[in-house]
Amino acid sequence: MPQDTSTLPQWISAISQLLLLLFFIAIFAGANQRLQIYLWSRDIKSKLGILEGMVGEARRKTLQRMVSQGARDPEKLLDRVMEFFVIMPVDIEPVDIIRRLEHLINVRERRLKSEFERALPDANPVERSKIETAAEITSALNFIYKLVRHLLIQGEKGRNWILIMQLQLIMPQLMKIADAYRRALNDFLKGVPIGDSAGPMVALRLAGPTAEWRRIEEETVYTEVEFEGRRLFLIKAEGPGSSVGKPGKATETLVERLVKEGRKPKLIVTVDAALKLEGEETGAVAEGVGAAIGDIGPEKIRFERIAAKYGIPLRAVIVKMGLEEAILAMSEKLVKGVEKAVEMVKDVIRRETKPGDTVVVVGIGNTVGVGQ
Amino acid sequence: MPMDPLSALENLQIILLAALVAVTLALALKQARDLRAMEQRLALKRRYVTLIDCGGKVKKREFREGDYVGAKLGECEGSEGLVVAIYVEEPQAGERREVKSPRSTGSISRGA
Repeated sequence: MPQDTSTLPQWISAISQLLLLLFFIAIFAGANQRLQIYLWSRDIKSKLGILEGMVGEARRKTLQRMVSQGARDPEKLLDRVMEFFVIMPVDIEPVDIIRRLEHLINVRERRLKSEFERALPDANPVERSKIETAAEITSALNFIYKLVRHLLIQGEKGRNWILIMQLQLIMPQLMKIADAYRRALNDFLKGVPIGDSAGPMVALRLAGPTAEWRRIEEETVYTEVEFEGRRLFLIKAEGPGSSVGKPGKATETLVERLVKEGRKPKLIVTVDAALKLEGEETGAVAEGVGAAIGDIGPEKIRFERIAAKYGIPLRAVIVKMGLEEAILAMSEKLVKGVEKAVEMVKDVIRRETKPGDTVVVVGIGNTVGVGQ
Repeated sequence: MPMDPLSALENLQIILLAALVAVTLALALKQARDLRAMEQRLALKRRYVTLIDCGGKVKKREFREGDYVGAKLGECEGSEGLVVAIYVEEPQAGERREVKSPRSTGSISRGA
């Protein structure tokens, strides 16, 4: 009598073998890549959803603040700012590029400023500057969102798994940057000092509470104080609104003026926030040579040109921090870093000048939450 | 008693299938956990504080709208104090804002 062979293990074995066969056929047909693309795309889409939410939240908060300041047609203005762009000057012909770049930057700044002045005629300049920065942050978040969406759709359309893989791999960094922007928006709207305000804070500490600040350039102020027998000229952006001022132009103007008066500075010290390397401590300070300024060129070159023109030593003191820390509200560690930077600047001045000398100290960075 | 090689192979196939299902589930769970952790981080509460120098004695209080470093405030028992720093304190574990996380509920548009 034949034995019944349809036992459960044999069925499982048959199904497993069939599945295994299908699995190998699928691998040769490229199904593994499709599955991988699907998994990556799904992950990117989840994060894209969060990014979309961040843009919506930033937009809502910026509009709310604009409305509270009596803005005229805020939505239209914000949409315009979010899509505003600058075309970089021709760089295959480098002659005059700094002047051309500076001109474009100035046109952009003036354009945005006048748009906000027109839309918010009753708001005070400090409040207007915060709203302007909030609109720029919203625009940056929107750009990240649109870029991720563009790359995802492009990768899916062309079944470009390398593009999707690259996008998936950089998504954690993009999300971190977007999260920093999202939190930075709150900090700017609150008007608290950010990590980048370290430079202006150092200038303010050196000046002391009784110093009288005067405007020297657009949104930039200076004061003159005495420090251990030296004449100290301090420059910073005009606060407490959100502004970086024109520190390079202001230093150029001031040095030219001092040279004309026969008081040529013996030293120029720039103080700024600088990006730390991973593993370095937040709030650590360091000194070096050159212009400590994160500008794309026009302001930085003015420091170098004026220092080289009169042979003035150009020194730099930096307060180290991460990219996120530079745009977010200042932490306690950074406040301590500012104290250390003040002492370091004093030390540099003591070492490199003698009583009776003139010294220019420039606090570089956004002066939001730091007055004078 | 030694195991039949065919039977051992059958067992191995079952184990492999089970392992494949387990790995897929683990990956899906990890993705969900990562997203949840990100949303929780977005909802963390941050506390801003203002330091006021009252003639050498530093007073710390909650940040108020309008405070800025360098501002002179009459908060030192009648006399004038100087705001010397404003900073954010690290978020405390367990502290949450009572707001919705910024995660979107809308679908992803394929438009421009």
